[in-house]
Amino acid sequence: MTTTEMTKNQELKTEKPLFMPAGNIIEKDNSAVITLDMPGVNAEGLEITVDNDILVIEGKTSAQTPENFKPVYSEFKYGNFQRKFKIPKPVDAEHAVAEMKNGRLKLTIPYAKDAVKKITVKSV
Amino acid sequence: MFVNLLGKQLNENGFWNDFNRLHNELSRGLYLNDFYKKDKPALNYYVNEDGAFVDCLVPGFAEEQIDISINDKELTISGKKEKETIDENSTVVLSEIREENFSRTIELPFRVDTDKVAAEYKNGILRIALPKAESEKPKKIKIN
Repeated sequence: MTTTEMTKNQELKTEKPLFMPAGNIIEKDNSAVITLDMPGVNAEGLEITVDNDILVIEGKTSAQTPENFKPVYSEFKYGNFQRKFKIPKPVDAEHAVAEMKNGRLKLTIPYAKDAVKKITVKSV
Repeated sequence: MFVNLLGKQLNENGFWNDFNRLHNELSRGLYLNDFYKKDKPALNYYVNEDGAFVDCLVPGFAEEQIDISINDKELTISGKKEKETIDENSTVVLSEIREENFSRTIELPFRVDTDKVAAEYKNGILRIALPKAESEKPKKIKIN
C-alpha cells in the first residue's frame, strides 16, 4: 500500500457519512433498479462504485446561500452521505446506467446473464 | 452473521443487505431528505433588507407538479402527482421514498411584492425569491 492510499483510507475512516438518502430498490427484468433521493446533488458530486458484490453510492451536499443573504432558518442537512448495499447476485457493472432527474438518482444495474445457469440432466 | 444479529434485513430472504441502515440504527443517523421523516418538504429561509429566499426540497417532483401561492403574508408550496405504479413483474426490495402529495405553509415576516416573486427549480430544490413590498421598506424622511 502506498502512502497516498493509506492517507485516503484513514480519511475514509474518520470522515463518517452523516446522512443516508432515502431510497427504493426494485428488481425487474433481471436488473436491480435503485432510486435515491438526493436533492441539490450534481452528477459531478456523486460517486457510484461497484466492487464485486458491494455497491456504494456516496457524495456531499453543501449549503447554497444566495449571495448577500443571511440564512436564518435551515432544515436542510449538509455534509457527506452514503448508501452501501450488498448485491445478492453477480452484476454486469459495465452496463449499469445512472441518471439524475429532479434531484433523484435512478441507477439500473443488470444482473450478470450467466448468473442463471440451467443444468440439464442427462439420462443415462 | 453480524447483520443477522443486529440489523434488520431488507427483505425476508435477506438478499440485499443495507450496511448504512445498520450503522444508522445504531447511531441514530439522519436522513438526507426530511421529506421522508415528516411528510413535509424541508425548508431553508434566507433574508436581507430587501426580502427573502425560501428553498424547499422536493425531489422527484417536476416543475409543473409544484404550485406556489401567496396570500397576504402566507406562502404556500404544494406538490401533487400521480402515484407511480409498480408493474407486476417487479419485486420490491426496499421502499423508503414516500411519494405523497404535500402542502406546506409558512408565514412571512413581511408583505411581498407579488409581481416580482420568482421561482426556479433545479436538482430537486425549489428556490423562491420573495422581494419585500415597497410599503414594507423603511422610509427615509427628508428634513426641510
